[in-house]
Amino acid sequence: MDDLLSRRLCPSPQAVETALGAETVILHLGNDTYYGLDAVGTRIWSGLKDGAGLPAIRDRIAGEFAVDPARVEADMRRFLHDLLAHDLVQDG
Amino acid sequence: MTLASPDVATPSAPAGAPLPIAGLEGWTVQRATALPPSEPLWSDGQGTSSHRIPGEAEALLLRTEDLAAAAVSLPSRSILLVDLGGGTDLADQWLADQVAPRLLSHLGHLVVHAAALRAQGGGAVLLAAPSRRGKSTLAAFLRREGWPLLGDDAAVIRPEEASVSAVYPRLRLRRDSWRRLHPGDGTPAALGDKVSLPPGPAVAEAPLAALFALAEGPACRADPLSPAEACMELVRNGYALDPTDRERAALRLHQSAAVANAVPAFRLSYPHDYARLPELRDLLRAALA
Repeated sequence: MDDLLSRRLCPSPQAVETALGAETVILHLGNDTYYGLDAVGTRIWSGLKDGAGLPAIRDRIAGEFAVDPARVEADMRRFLHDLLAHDLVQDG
Repeated sequence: MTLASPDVATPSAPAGAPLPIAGLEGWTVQRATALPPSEPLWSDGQGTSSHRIPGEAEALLLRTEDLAAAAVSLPSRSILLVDLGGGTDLADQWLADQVAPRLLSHLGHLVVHAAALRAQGGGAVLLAAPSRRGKSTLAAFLRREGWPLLGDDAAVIRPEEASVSAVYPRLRLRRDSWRRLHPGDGTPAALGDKVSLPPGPAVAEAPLAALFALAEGPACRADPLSPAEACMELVRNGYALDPTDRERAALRLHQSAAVANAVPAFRLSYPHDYARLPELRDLLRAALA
C-alpha cells in the first residue's frame, strides 16, 4: 500500500465547509455529521482544496509555525486518517 | 398537488384551519384519518421520521410513532394532520412542537432547539439543548426571576440582524419541575406529562445577546465557546424537515456560522439540581456583563 503522504487527496464532494476565524466547520452532507478543524487542521484542509501535495503542505505548516516537520507529519497523518475515516477526503 | 384527495385522506373539516405561527401565514391545517403512501428518508432512531411522498413534488411527511403524523405540501401550503394514537390535543401540540419548527427551517429560516429569554439590557439569551436537558426548567426559573420569556423550545434566529424570536410563545414544564419551582401553588392544566403556562408579557423579537449551550456537568460553569464550537452547537440543535436535503443542510451551516461569528457563546454546564439554579442565573448575568 502506498504511503499516505504520497497520495493525492482532495476534499470529498459531500463536504461543505464554513470558515470561522482561523477555524473551520465541515458538514458531511451524506451523513449529516459535522466536524470542527482547528487552525492547523484548517491550513491542511486549505492545502487539500488548493490541490497541494501532502509533503508540500507539511513543509509549509512546519515553516509557518516553526515546528519540526517530523512532528507536523505525525499530526498530519493522524488528521488525514480521521478525514479518510469520515469520508471527508478522497483520492483525487 | 392536493394531499386532501379523498382516496388518501379524510379531512374532518371541509376547509383547513390557519396555522397561527409567525412565518407560516397562509398555511392551513386539516385533520385527516389516513396518510398518503410514503417512502422513508430519515429517522432519528427515537420514533420520529421523515418521508417523501411518491409522485408529489415538494411534499414531505413527518411522523412520530404512536403520536401523530403530518403530510406537508409546499405548493398548496397545506398540512394534513393525523392522530396516530396520542389524541387530538397532543397531535396539535406535536404540530407546533415538531412540524412548525421543521417547516420554518425548510422555508429557509434558521430554527434552533432552544429556549429564549430577554435579559437585563434588552438582549435575548438562547439556551440551546436537545430535549430533556433542562431548558424549560431553567427558562421557568429565570421567568420567575423576572426575565421575560420569548419561548421555551424552538427559536428562530435571523442571522442578518442577529435577532431571535420564538416559533410560538409558550412554557411547558414537567409536573415535578413545576412543583419544585412553584411549591404551594396549584398545578396548572396538564397536557401529556407536562403543564402549560402562559409565557408572561409577550416579547416578539429581541437582539440576540448570547448563546448558551446547555450541558450536564458536576459543577456550574460558563465556558466560552469558539465561533467554530458555537457553530456546531447551532447545527447540532437545528431543526430540519428533511435532514437528507443537502442544499438546505449547507444553508443551515452557513446561517449558523454567521450567527456564531456575530454573537458570544458559552457552554453552560451544571448538575441537575434545582438548588443550583440561582448559580446559573448569576453565571448568565456575569457572561452578559
